[in-house]
Amino acid sequence: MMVSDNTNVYSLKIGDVVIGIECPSCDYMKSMEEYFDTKSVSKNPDILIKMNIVLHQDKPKIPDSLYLTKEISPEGFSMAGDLVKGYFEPLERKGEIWVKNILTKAPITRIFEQILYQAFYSARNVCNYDAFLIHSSGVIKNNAGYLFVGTYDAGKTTVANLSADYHVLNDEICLVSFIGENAYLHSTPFNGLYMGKREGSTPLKAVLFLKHGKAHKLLELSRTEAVITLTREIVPPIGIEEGLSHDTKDSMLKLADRLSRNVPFRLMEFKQDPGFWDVIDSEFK
Amino acid sequence: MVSLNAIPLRNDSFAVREIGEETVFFADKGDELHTLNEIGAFIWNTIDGKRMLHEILDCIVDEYEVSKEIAEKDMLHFISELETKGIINFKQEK
Repeated sequence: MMVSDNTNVYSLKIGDVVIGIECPSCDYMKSMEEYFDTKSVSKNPDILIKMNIVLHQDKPKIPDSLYLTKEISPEGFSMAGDLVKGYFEPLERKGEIWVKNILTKAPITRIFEQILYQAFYSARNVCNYDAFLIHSSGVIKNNAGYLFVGTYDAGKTTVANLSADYHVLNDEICLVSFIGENAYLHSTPFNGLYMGKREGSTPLKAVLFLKHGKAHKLLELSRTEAVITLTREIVPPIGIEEGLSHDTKDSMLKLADRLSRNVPFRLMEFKQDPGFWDVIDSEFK
Repeated sequence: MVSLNAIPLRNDSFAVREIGEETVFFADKGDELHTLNEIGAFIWNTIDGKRMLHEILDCIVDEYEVSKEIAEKDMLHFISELETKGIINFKQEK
């Protein structure tokens, strides 16, 4: 746990860990709170990252993925050239980043979130927190968690919109944690398109792989297909100080395999109405 | 046509996991993936960087009820596919 005297530290809770972002000014901290629609939590952060904003006149190319452009050197890391650079010391639980100003402007802030995914994994690693992030939509109904997984156009936000009567956790990135082999679903502060996301955690009851259809149906899916889809949607579990490696995809594959062994899954064909909840309720009584 | 004396080597830039009776290969970078069925996985597991293809063929014939001629044809076709996909390459003779 880190203790900072700086009053501009925005403490962002993601599952059981807290990331402290030391902002350059009080205004930045407020804009973080507004962006994530979440007040800084009072718990001391598990890791602390000092954020510096770099003003610039050039128009840097913004990649879709900061991961694929990440380079590691003895001094630290850089992403997309010098769009983001910095270092993180896991033993001290502290680091510092320099971010070009353009990355803090909407809608590019979605790319900025990728830095925080990596910071989450750094915090996860130092805290030995058994959890991972996954591109998905998450909903709690009757105290049971349902994870909806699919590619960018599979309907994650549609499902969230059609589930507004229930407890929608997120329509972009959810957190899955394990206690033993029991899986739990958690909200994250990351932003999708759904505007009514709420915090929450609950046991994960089922994983539904989304497919647009003409009727609401739950279909059997081979475990291989489930693992392949999950692997593609898991946010690479690398800390901010780490680069992609052979072990990264291997870890993603293992996480997907583990989830598929411990939580029932189905292919869910659905159309644009909330009737899919009837078939879910019927299947997972 | 690859020689039966060739020694296949696994390409380490794929993450591999057995899921039930299938084996999944994911490229370390990007989304490229391949799956192998049970027999494919068996052949994959015999590729250890030491065995020549004729020794792998012997393993297949010992494990499955199949004639050596058919097994050889199928194995060479399969090995050729693995090489094309970059999942294996061959030990260079010195």
